[in-house]
Amino acid sequence: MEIFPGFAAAEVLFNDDGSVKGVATGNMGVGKDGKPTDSFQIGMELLGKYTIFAEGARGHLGKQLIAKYQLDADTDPQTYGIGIKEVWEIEPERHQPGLALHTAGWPMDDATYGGAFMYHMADNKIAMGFVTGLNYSNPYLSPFEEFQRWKTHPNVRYYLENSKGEVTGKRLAYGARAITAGGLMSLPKTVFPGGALVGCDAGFLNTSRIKGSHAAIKTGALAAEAAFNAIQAGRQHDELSAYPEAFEKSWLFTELNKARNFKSWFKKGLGVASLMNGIEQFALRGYFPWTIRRDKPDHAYLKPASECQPIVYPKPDGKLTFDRNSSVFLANVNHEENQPAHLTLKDASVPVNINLAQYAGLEARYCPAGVYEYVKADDGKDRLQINAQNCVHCKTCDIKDPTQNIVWVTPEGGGGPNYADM
Amino acid sequence: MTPQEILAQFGPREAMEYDVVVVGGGPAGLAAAIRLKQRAAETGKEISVVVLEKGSEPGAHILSGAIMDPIALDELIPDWKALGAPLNQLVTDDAVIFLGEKSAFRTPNFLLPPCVQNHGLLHHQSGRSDALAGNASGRLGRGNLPRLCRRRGAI
Repeated sequence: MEIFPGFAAAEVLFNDDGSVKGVATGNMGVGKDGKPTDSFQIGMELLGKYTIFAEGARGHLGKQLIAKYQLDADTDPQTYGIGIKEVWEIEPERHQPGLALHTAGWPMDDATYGGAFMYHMADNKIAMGFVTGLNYSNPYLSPFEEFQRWKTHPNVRYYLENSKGEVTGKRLAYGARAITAGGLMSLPKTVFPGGALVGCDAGFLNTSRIKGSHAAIKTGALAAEAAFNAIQAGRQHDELSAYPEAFEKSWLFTELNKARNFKSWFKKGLGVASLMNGIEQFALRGYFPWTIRRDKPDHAYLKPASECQPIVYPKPDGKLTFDRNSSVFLANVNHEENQPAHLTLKDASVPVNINLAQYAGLEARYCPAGVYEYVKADDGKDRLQINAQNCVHCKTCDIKDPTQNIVWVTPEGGGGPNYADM
Repeated sequence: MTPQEILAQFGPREAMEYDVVVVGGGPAGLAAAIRLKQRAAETGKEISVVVLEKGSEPGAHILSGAIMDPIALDELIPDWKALGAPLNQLVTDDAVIFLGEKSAFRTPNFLLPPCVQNHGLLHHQSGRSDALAGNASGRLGRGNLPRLCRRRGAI
């Protein structure tokens, strides 16, 4: 097989009959002004009898395919979380290899879905992170700062300190990524003429276990199985219906079916959610007849800033808690500077007129990488500055923008974070 | 210039044909590619597969928790242990804690439902697991894998 790293699939190609023909990679060497530079190289077309989309959560081509083929017509809207993660090296005496710690509650209020994890790996390293449900309603909320202040809880900072109570652990890496949380109730149809959605691009993550890698591997393999058999039978560019059929007979379907209400209960608060998930998952072992439905996408849960309390977050101390810039540095983000911004606006007036006026400029808070900044223009007016080179490709803006005015597209291939061991 | 104008002026683009095009070199995309090559090897057929990855290297854009249930990996690559997969830390203790601003209540472990129990599962580092997938796929087909192996050699 051929693996082409550094090549971003930028566009879906269609046959005349509406089936997917393949993808095109993006052009390289287009300047900020949209004009070809000296290093310009036009994209390539990669054509397949079948195309399998495995872009991860909120894939930008997957999103287009779901809309074009109305794959989510019969499902609940997808719901997402933003996961922000750091890897630390800590004092050996505070390291408990094999410990998997999860927390709920503080600093989230009862109405907001969120929780944290801390996993003790080998070599005195720990991975920890915080997941905030993107259906939060208060535009003043900042998932990044919620994670930072979570680390100040005595039961968390304990692991990052030495025996004298000094923070001696060292942060090694940082990253952020949106995850799907809707589970089975939000799972779109996964096949369309000429292709399939697999893994988090479809939304197979099991929220109750916060695990998706096993589901990604399983559904990738199932789609491959269906594509292989179809090609051997001389077929192409049709629907691989054997893939969803095999999924429904698999252990993965059983697992996701048991967890189908997990996230929905959190709309009723942490107390009810803990009780009901306890009953469903502990007492009934996942076998229960009822299903809780969701009716709105995440961005529709936002309330205007005028109805919400501003949240004051503590200032970072540079040891235990950090700002966005020093964090993005640890994600090793790199983008060719002379290229059009890959965070595109359908209407350039919306950020100031709607997002800043009604939602207190929320994109500056939900973005974990400092891409969005409201600054004063020369004429004294507010202006949204988009620092696209900071982007860690988490897709949160594409999900949470109140009017869905921000559209994430692929930058030049090879751009983005360079995570090692995240 | 709009992308359409660029295409009109500098196109048409070169086209390459494959049996299957995979968009994304993460666990789902690589599992798909590996399974296609496995099935071809099992049945003595040829199949051409290409995997596109927007990151500078496979794994560069991958981020997860990450504790993995190896159930799907066991099915796909039963000998992943022998291949030296970097799944190196078994979960030996689960703690689920409800936090107040200054307080903490640890749920007794006998009350934990199966979905939050990780005992016996494996901690992995997602980027590294894709090196595994890369290595495994290297056994099954030709490919552009040296960069993978170079970066992830020290598994």
